[in-house]
Amino acid sequence: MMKKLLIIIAAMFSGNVLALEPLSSEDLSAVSGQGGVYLSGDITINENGGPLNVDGPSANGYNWQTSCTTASTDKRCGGRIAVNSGTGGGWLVLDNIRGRFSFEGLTLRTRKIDSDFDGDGAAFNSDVFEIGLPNNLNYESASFTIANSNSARPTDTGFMQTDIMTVNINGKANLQGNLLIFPTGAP
Amino acid sequence: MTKNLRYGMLSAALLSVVVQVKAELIGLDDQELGAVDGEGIGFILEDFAFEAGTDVANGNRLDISGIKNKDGQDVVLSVSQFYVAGAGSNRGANVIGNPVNLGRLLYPYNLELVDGDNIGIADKAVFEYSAPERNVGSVSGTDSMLVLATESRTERRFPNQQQSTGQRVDRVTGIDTSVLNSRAAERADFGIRYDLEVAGARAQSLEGHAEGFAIDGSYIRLWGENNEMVGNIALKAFASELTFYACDSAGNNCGQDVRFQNFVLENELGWGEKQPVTFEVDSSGNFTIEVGRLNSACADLNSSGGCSLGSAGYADFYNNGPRADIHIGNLSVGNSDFGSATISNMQIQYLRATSRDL
Repeated sequence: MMKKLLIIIAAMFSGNVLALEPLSSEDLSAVSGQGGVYLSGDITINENGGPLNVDGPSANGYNWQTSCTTASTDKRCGGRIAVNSGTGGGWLVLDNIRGRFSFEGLTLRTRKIDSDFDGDGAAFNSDVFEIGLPNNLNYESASFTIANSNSARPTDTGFMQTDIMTVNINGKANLQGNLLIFPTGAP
Repeated sequence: MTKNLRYGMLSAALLSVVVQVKAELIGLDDQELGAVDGEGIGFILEDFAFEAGTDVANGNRLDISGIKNKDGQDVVLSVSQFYVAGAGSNRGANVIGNPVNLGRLLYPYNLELVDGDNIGIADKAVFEYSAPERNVGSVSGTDSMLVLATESRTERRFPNQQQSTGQRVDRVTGIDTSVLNSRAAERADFGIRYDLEVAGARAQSLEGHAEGFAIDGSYIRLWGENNEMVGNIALKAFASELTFYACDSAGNNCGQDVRFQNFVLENELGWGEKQPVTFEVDSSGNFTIEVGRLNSACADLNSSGGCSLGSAGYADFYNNGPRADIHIGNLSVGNSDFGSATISNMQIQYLRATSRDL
């Protein structure tokens, strides 16, 4: 009997501890987030080909395996995004996506704007999501080809492709500023 | 009631809820989706400046290849500078530290799923990417930047129609910048310097610079029709000055400037669902862009596919359809002015362009 009583009393106390009250909208609106996120990135895509070039399928009409050096222009070496433009039609292609891309100092935070912007800020009076752009972007043999093709993969039977242009970027691009993102329109 | 019976009833009740929930998931058709009017996402670039390709000697390169000349030699456009900056960039000399705001908080670049019923595309949800919207100009009276003078003329308004007399557009008398929501400080300078390399040898250096550039009123609208992507495009651009010139392969001994002052381009491709623009790749891998035939703009088609009312059947298209206007306030080469040039009221009734591999 005594043991049961103790358990009941203990349960009542723990109930008190668990009494988390929800915050009202008013309380929540007074919360101010501090800081944000600071990001640096270094991305290399298919610099010396991808895994398919090393041990991809080589039977049943597929032949992905090839030796991909940095200078190789083989269409099997880079990444490929193909979008079908309509039933029975061909493909819009971003092909041979390769190279290295890095940046330091990309920041993410939210920010309340209620002034400046040549008078727009006061009328806007709302929160925005701010992406602070890094001061420079570094590229190393970053390249891609814009093309049209009759099939999704370069190993498909009867593959044909028209390359429109190839962009190759090396070195450094400088930039400054913030990208602000916010909802528009009447809900 | 036994315990087993109670569990049985509870399980049955729970199962029926699950079944009901599954039954509630049904696909939305185009008509229902067409009533969607979601909030959009606005973007602006604050204090923005960008510069790429400078300092070629230290390996900063941006090359565009894949072009051949008539002798089959490779032609590479090697960009030695591409920049976006604020006013006073001095042809790319003053970029970083001279930023510009692109878009305004109240008039941003906008990504939205809009209700097609409001823009002449019935019962469709339309994906729209738009630049800052335009105002009705205080001088031009429309959302066109061109201020027009009119005169009374007697002429045929449409082909094969009777002559009629009325106020007709005579000439462009000015540019109305109140149409633009992007104010002077929100219009960018941008430019590109590139070298033409033919078969590995640098042949010529070319430069193009734009000052006070805005694309207010431009948009891309895309939707699906018969398993195909179709769209409408409006490209509206204003630059207070465009400058082009060529230099020798070392970037010296530049020729005279070719300058377009107060350049206005107002171009619309496609007219709602009556004249959609399609983008497709054919089965041989060639790209085709097509501005559709006007059949659906005609109220009544005859048996051979023509408009039974003749050109009068297209009056709505002639009066309200998409058009292209290009105006250059002043064209000058070196120190010589050639005055203004205007192409106005150009309407595309059908266009089909296909790429071909050489």
